[in-house]
Amino acid sequence: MAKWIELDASTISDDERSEVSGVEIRVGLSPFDIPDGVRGYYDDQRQRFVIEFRYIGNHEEKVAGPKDGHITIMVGKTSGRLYEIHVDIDKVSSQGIKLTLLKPEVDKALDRLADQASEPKKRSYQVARAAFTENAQELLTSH
Amino acid sequence: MTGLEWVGLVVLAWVGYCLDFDLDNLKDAPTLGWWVQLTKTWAAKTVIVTALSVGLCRLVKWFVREPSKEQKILARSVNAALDTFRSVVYPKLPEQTPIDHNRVTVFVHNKSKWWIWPWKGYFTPWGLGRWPWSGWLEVVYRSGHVTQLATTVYLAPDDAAQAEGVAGQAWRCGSFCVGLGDKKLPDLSQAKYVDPLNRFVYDIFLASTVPKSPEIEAYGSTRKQVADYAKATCISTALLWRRIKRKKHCPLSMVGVHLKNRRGDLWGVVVMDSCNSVACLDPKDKSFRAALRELIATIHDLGITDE
Repeated sequence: MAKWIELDASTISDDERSEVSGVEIRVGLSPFDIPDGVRGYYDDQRQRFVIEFRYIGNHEEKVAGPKDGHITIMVGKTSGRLYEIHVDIDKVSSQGIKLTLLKPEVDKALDRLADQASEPKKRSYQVARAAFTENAQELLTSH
Repeated sequence: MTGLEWVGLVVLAWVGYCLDFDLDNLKDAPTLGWWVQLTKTWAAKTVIVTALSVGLCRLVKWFVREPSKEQKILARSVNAALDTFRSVVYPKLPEQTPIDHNRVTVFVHNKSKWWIWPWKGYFTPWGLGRWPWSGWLEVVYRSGHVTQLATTVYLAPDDAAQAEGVAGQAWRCGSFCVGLGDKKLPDLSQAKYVDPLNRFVYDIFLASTVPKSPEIEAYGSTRKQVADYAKATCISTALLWRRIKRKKHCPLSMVGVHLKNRRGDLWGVVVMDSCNSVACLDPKDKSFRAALRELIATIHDLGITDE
């Protein structure tokens, strides 16, 4: 299994900063909704490439979201957090350049997911997308 | 059973016995006959008073009950976990800092709360336009060994814009930080309490053009600090004046974040408040997140968030 890439929450998620009566206020996402690790690996059993996100308190059941071309999204049943992105691709293709060409497709699928979601899930998906974008090269080529 | 409950049982047995007794059998025992007759006359009232007394005794006993042994063990375990969390999220604390100057408090969200003290409104415990079922955040655990007897309850309703306090706003947003950088909350440690009637009078003086005494000028300055503090922390000025009256700490910075149960449902919030210049770490800090992960794992393992 691939190693986790540790994420820095301060680079993938921004707080809204404001000043009220001269006092600094910062409003941000719940720490539970910001992933602290991401990894990519090929799942031989399911014959697909999996991008997996790790969160604080990671025990809930996952359910499949709508399929988007080659891509299936797995989200938390209760929280709606983005847990996994499954890319339908055979093993041979996964070891070649084709995998990196799928990055725009994954980006679009995540954008569509964020567009269809309401706040604060939308922000959580945007953070997951930022985490994927920041580490896409390593995720898609190091497995 | 308590002593009063035994007495109640004996009284009810006596009443039951007397109701069935034929007084003709007591012609030779006039005193006993008098007691039996008296009991028969007052039977209904005796039964009602006895039942109410025993019920009241049980209610009082329930209110003043001590936690069970299991609850005490659980509370000690959570307290230890919160102390560990506190030592990580306040890394620069000088050694002799009093333990209540930098606290970690766990609030649980309850959909209903049937009694709140002190009252949030003049006419009802829950405040104007609020009900027992409005949604509330209640203190359940706190770090350290002091300020444990907290009765603080904050409103956390469905119309979340009205959520009260840093705890309520953290419940609403996910992460809510006040005064974390250099721009801290006003320091109310030296604020002098002024009762509502005098505040009303002083407000009139302050609004007028007459020369003001130093006392009224000082009140004017405190009033502004209280208003700024209340606005930044989303509480009412009335609540804040009550804290000043009781000489309770008014922190200079506060951080509140979500707590979730095993299933991923929102369960409560954890609030870090600091009365000195040492603020809590930013919730996005790696050490904070690592400590939160350990804290929530401990809380889950202890079964506290299970329904």
